[in-house]
This record gives sequence, C-alpha cells and structure tokens, in this order.
Amino acid sequence: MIVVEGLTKVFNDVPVVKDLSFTVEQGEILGFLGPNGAGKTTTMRILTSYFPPTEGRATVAGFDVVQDSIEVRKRVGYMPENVPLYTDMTVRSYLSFVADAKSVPAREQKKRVGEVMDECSLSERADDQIGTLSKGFRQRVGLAQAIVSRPQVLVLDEPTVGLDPRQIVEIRNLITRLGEKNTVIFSSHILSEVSKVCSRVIIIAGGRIRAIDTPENLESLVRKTVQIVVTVQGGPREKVVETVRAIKGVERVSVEESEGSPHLRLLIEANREDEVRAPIAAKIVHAQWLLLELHQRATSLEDVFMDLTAKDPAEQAETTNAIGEVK
Amino acid sequence: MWAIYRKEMRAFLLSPMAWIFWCVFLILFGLAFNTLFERYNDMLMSNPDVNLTETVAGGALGGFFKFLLLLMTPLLGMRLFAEEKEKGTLELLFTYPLTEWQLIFGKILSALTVTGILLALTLPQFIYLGNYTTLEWPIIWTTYLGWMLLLVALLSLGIWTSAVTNSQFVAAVLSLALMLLMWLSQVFQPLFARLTFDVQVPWFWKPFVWLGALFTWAYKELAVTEHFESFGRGVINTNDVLYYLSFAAFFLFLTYKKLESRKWRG
Repeated sequence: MIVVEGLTKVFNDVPVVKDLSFTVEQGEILGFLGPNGAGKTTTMRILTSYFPPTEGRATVAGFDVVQDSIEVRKRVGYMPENVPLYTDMTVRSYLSFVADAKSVPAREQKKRVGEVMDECSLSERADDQIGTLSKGFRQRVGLAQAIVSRPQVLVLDEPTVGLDPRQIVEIRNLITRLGEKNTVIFSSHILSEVSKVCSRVIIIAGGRIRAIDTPENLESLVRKTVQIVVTVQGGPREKVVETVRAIKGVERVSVEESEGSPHLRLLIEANREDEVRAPIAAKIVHAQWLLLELHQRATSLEDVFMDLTAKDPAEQAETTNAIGEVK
Repeated sequence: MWAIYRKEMRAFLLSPMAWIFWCVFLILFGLAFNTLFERYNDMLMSNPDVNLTETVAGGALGGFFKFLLLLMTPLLGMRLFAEEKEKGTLELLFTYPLTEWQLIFGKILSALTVTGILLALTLPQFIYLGNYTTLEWPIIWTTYLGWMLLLVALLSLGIWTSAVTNSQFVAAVLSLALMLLMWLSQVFQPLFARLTFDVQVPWFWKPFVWLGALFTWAYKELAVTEHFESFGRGVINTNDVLYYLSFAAFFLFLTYKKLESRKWRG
C-alpha cells in the first residue's frame, strides 16, 4: 500500500530524514517510533503530500506523492500532532466542511458525518463549538476529520499525546478498530503504546531507520543476551572475574567500581540459551567467597529503543540544529 | 474550490464582521447619496447643464467608496490566510485534495462576494432615483465594473499580505500601508514632478536622476486610483481593465509562490 524508497529531506542543507526505505502492506498498523526530532513528522508530511522529498520517492496506493499528489491526498487521512482545528466552528459543521473539501459526494455527506461522529463518540457534542471541547474530544475530532472520507491509508502523528490514561486507551482501541479495514501509520515516542497496537515497528532516530520488525522480534533481538548482576565479597578481583569468565555462555564481564567498598559488583552479559546463573553461583560458593547478590535484569522493548536511538554527539548536534532551523 | 468558498462564506456570515460592514457602509452610503443629491440641486441653480448621473453616481461611488474600501479590504483580506497559519489549519488543508490555486480562488471569491453584495445593495438607491428622473445607466454600470475590478486588485494585495505573515494584524497593517502608498500617488505626484529624464545635471548625477525618474514614472503608472477615473465617466478602457487584472494576477501569483514555498522551506 505504501512504498518508500531512499527518502531524503533536506532543510537549509541539513538533512532531517536520510535515505528512508520501507513498505507497508494493506491492513497493517505500522508504528513509527523515535525520540522527538527524529524525522517522524517530516516523513509523514511527505507521505501526505504536504511537501515533496528532496531525494527518493514514495508511493501510496500506487500513486506517487509528488506527481499524483491529489490522488494520494484523496486516499490518505492525516491527523497532525496537536490537531489544528477551526475553534469557532461546531463539530458537525467542521466535519461537513472536511467531507466537502475531500470530495465526499454531496448527498452522502450528512450521513457520513453522522457515522464518523458515532465512531469517534462525538455525537453528543455534535453542535458544540470546537473551541469549547476538551483535549480528548478535540483529538477525536482530529481523528474524525482524518477518516471522514473513508481513506485507504491513515497517517496519525502522535495521536495520544497529551491525553489522560483512559482517553489513551479509548483512542488506542479506536485505532485498532480502524486498522481492521485501513492501513495505518502512527507515530509515537511511547513504546508500550506501539507494542500494543502495531503489527510492525520502525524505529527511527537522527533521520535514519534503526530497525524495522514486529514488536516481539525486536524484543527477542536483545533477548539473545541477558544481563546478570552479581555481588561478591572476599575474593581477589582478578581471580573472581577470571572464574566467572571461564563459565560457558558468559560473553562479557565488567566490574562496577565502587571506591572503598569491600564488595565486588560484576555486570555479566551472557547468552540466553545457556542458563549461567546456576554455574556462577556454584563456582563462587565453591571458591568460598561470599555471594551477596545474583539477579537477572529484565529486558524490554525499552532497551532496544535506548540501544538503537543512542547517537554519537556529532549527529545529535546535527539533528538538534535541523529542528531549530525548521521550526 | 467551492468547499473552501462555502467555508469562508460561512465564516463571514456567522461572524459579526460582514454584518457590521454592510450596515455601517449602507448607512454612510445613504447619507453620502443624499448630500450629493443636495449638492446637485445647488449646482443646478448656477449651471443647468450639470450631469446628474456623473455628480451623484460618480460622487457617491467614486469619492466616497474610495475611502471606505481603503479601510475595508485590508480588514476583509487579513484573515484569509493569516488566520489559518496562526491556527495551523493550513497544514491540514494542504493534505486535502485541493490545489493551491483552488485555495486561493476559493478564498478571494468569498471576499469578493461579500464586497459584491455590498455594491449590489447600493443599487436600489439608483433605481429609486431612476423612478423620478432619467439616469445615464451606462455610467452607473461602468462605475460598478470599475469597482469590481479595483476590488479584485486590492483583495489580491490583501490576500498576499495575509499569506506572508502569521498575524492578522500585521497583514492588515501591511496591506493598508501598501494601499496608502499607491492611493496617495496622486497627492505625491507634484513632489516628483520635476524629476524627469531630461533634467540637465552634471553627467555623474545622470544615473540617479534616471533612477528617480523611472521611479516617478512607475509610481504614477502603478497608482491604483488613476486607472479608475475613466470608469466613472462611462468609458471602459482596455488599458485600465488590463491594469487591474494584471495587478491582481501579480499578487495572486506571489501568494501562490508563497504557499508553494513550504515545499522547499518546510
């Protein structure tokens, strides 16, 4: 449904998005994950034909976002971050205008607006001015305007930002429901949200794709190794490290220094397949040292994210710069 | 385009602005019309050949309108794009299946409709007067035509100032300033009258004099009101029609370029 090849966007000589390539299948919910300023919004704006890429190409439903921009826009519903709305219009008149602008046939408009308001639970506020609505309701109006033309593709930029937990769940359920029929791309910097809703996740940082996979696969990516923390008392430092390193499955051992402490705290990275905790404990006890602590650190999508989005300082400066210039 | 047009018309009609314009304007127009009619009566005493249509229609639609439109078009034009930019809604509009030209035309047509209705509402006064005397209708029609053309030109300027800034206030002030500059061209002409191409000065002054003369010539030619005079006499001059249309086309094109600049500026 969406094909992106070598997408690059440069603002004032600063690349904001670099050489992005990915595809999204019909009926898929794709999560776009990255820290603020990673290039999520820029990519989404290219996909919605707001502006063209500097290099590369993107097609939506077979139409090029630059050459057939009107065709693309007919098929895409977009909800920008902090949805901009006409605060002096009522929900109903605003949605009617959007339906009109998106060329929904005149005789269907009224019915369609009614349906969409039902889907987004807006019916009871239909004749209220948008300016009087709460953040949660405005967010729903934003979603309603995106789906009023029944687009094949939905592009949602941070749809849950600024909502309370209950509203987040509501919006999330709504997105899941929409994803049954449509192709959805939605961006977020909240991991738990993406892993709950999306079938696939793209992690983007510094304008580049760091990983594309299902949430489960991404987690198992880090789960190949586990981190184990061991605190020992009484043994000579080199001897302890050597003993632990000799155990099958242990890949790396590092010592967490703490001045003047009689304890030796080790951070062990080991292969998940080999259960190393038992041999570690056995060896330490066997050497007659005191084993004070032994536990395995939990890993999650959070770790993948931190790993993949960690940038070198030069690149960090570059992206910060780019954001400053663009805003 | 019509979706944008309908939305803008709705916004105009639901806000008090259009209604205040219409009411205040019509009251003032009625008063001006009456005053001019009185003046015509006075003039008739000394000069029996004085032309009723030119005095009343030319006076009411000519002198009086100029002043009001100078105030009105910046106020009508200022919100067209500046408001959308201020609220951020322009970003969404650009992702709807609408071209930049559809946006521009939808918006300028709505502003033209509001002012057009205003012009149409002045017509009953002439019809009423026509019941009692013979009016030279062609002069009235060409004056209206002149007004529509002048409005297209001024609203195009207004829509452009509205597109270049995020603030409605700045947009209004900018277009008012530009209009005043063009409007007062006639007043300022004597200032520059001596600055012509054949002024005798030492050779090293020549380039400056030519530049000055070029500016004076351009300033005179660009004066918006200068081109209006012939319409008030019942003459449709192709030159003037083309002037207003190219004036409008120029500013609409600048607006288009400004809207399009997001593609490379972000």
